[in-house]
Amino acid sequence: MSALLCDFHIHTTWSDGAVDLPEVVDIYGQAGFDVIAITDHVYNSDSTIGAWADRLNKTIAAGNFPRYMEELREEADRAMRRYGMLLIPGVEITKNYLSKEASAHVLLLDLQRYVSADLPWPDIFRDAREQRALIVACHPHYTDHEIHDTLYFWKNRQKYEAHFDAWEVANRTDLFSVVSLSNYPILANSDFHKAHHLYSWKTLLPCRKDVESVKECIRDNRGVAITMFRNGTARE
Amino acid sequence: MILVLEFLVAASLAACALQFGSAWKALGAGRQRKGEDDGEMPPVSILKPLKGVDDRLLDNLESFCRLDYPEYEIVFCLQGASDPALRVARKVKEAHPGREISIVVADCREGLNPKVNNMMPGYAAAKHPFVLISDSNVAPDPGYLREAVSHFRDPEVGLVSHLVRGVGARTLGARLESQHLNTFILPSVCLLDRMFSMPCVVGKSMLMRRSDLEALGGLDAVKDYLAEDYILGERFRRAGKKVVVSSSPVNTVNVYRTVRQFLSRHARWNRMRFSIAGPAYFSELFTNPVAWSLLTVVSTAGDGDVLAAAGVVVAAKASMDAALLARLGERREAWRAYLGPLRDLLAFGLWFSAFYSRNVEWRGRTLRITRGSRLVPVAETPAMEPGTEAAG
Repeated sequence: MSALLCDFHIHTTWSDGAVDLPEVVDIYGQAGFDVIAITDHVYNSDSTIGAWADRLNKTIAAGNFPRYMEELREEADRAMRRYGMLLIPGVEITKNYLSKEASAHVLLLDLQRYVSADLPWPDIFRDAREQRALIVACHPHYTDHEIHDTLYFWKNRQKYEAHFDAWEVANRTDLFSVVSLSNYPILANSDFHKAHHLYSWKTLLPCRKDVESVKECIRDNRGVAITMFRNGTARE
Repeated sequence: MILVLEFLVAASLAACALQFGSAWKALGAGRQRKGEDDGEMPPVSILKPLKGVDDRLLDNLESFCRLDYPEYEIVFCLQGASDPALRVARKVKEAHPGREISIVVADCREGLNPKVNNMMPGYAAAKHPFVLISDSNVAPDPGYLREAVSHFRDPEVGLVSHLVRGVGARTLGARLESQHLNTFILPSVCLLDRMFSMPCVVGKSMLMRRSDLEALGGLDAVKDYLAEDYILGERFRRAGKKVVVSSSPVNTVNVYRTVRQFLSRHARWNRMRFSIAGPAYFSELFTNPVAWSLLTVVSTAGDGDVLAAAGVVVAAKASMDAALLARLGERREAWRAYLGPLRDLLAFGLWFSAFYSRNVEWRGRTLRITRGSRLVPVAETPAMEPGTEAAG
């Protein structure tokens, strides 16, 4: 059995992505991916970005969550039929504040019901656990690309580490060696917003291609590998 | 000075009209040809050199599994098992068990041309008497191979290439790329072929008898040339064989190309054309009335009459571009002919890039493009030199 090529951190035009959901499915399917998770932002409403995102309808909220899930289900069916690719529904709980030490983003994978980013973190984790969703700390350390750094969980890792099923050890082109040095379970994702973000860090999982096997493999984290998905190197 | 510029504007507009007329006529002939009876259809080996995941790679590769042709094999050629295209090639093979598909992975470094190196092991494994070399971003119609083979009913024909049509663009860079292919490269190829009897072989699609290629030295003979397509065409001609550019355009897919990628690729192509054409490269300056009009406007400090005349020239060129895009079946893109003047100005700037550097970088080696596009190693260098870019 060859390892599954996976990306669990992908945005679409449902939030701040530049590519719509069907096109995202085609981009990944055409490139031979086995598993993807769509994780559009759920913003906290007490931040300027969150308030503007809500006003511009660029966030997943309680009101549009059912339609979001409906489109994800339709596209998941198409992805499997056309490409044999598994699509897992998810969101990125996005709590942005002026201070990077207070900001944090978390992926909830295989989510069934809406979870508000306005809840305190313990409530978010409890709600996600009740739904048997996977909880992943994303870009937990300093990054080199355009995003606002989100360091809250890294600064408070002793307090929160038990809540996470995995930590992003790599995000887009950034590699967080501190995560691997801490022996946390790992994932590597693209944080896809634009088509060229396809070429970025990815995860290879040695498991069967169904949602439960993928979740179990991430939790167990044995044999998980990361790979830089490149379209040729600078020297080629 | 103004007179010279006005002459250049008029001459360029006339050259564009000739290009347009040639392309219009050629595309009409291509439509008629599609309906013809095809006669004998020998088995064909299709070589697909793969490197990385091009836009819509799965669809592109699968389109070759749906060709309306009795017997052919597809040989996917890759240089390493870590290439992401390998996963896609395997999926295509699994999805089409009834098709004869083989995947050849070998890190061949026989020559200096990366594409030729990529194909050499696949070529050795190919078994049919006809060989089609087809780039990975090509997505043909089902009748493509039948049409291409039909040219060999003329026993003097040695090599068949195709016009290329850029399709699928979703970004500005991809639209510029498609327009460059559709409104500059394609009409230029038609003009050279129809008016000057200089068939220009485009490497995206080349069909030939294996025996003919072997007689010319096989792929080995072109492994050190960057423009292996042009060199093959020349050698077939010198050997007394006809080289045909089919008027049925083959689709090349560019969806998400960036403006930077567009500029980079065509700077490289310009260097290649300069190395092949020499002084004739300067004739390309006579295909850009928009740039000359702008220079005329600038040199007359925005004189009203000159400005109005420039507007007419730009509108005329954009109209020809729009008509050609519509003729190519790209009706939805035709209204984007307003991008034509932008492409024209970028192409004018890019024309000069041929003189900036003649080097390309490949796998840690700096290679110089010399006369006839022959590659020569310059030095083993740890870092890129200014003006050097990746080949491929």
